[in-house]
Amino acid sequence: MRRRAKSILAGRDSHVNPAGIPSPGVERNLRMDASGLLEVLRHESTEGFKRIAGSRVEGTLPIPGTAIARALREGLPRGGPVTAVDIALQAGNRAVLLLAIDRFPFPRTVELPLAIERSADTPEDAIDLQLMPGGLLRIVLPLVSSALNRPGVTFHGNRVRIVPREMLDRADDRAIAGLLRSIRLRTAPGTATLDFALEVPDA
Amino acid sequence: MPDVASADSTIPMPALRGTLRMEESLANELLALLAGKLKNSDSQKEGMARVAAGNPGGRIGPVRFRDRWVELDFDFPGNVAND
Repeated sequence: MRRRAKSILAGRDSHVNPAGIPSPGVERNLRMDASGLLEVLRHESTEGFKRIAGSRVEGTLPIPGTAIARALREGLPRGGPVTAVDIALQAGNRAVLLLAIDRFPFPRTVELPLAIERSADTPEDAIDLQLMPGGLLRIVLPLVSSALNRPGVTFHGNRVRIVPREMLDRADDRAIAGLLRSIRLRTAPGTATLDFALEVPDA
Repeated sequence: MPDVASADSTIPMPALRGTLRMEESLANELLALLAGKLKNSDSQKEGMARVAAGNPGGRIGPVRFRDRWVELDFDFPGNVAND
């Protein structure tokens, strides 16, 4: 246990102040920050969080559009007509999905504007995205739905429904994700921001 | 299709705030790594103060000691720009 706990706080030489200099009079490994807290959560998850019962964490996680695009690209079916995907996040819960399509007679690239119609309040609630009607949407919609098909994502006409819980249940840190009590998504240019709250039930 | 393959897609450290409520054994395991073996609440408090002092970028504390539990308020700004 001591060795495992050691990984939580000690021996982390990279944890110096932003200037890269340890604070005067303070040992370099006294730092406990967001990553240290996450390690505590991961460690305690193996024992059902009993020793941190009653803890509460609120957080704000900015996700760069490039990270979302990378995740979308990695999930593309191999050999499918959609060969690349990107997303341009905009202010006001809007974005543009960009698809590269390699199948005649579709155009080589398609831009699909979308809006977050409804954000979730809890991980069990749905996030609804609306793909803006018009242009080529009706034609390319089957390609979009096959390209973005994954657990927790369903298509209903030109609406995309995402249920965070169904995605989180497959995440690496699913035990920590199980502590989520609220979740909210918003966008700004280039970034999607997730506001969330975790709660460890009282013992 | 813009070339974003080389763009930085690292997800930054989140901003976190709240209360970490630790059972005494966990608090001591963590503090023992920071300040040596701790045997009483005074040294535990001292250890917590040292943790707080080691976090110039964030805030830790106040710390409350309740029975066999330690409650530690924290506010880590992460790398989140204010908007």
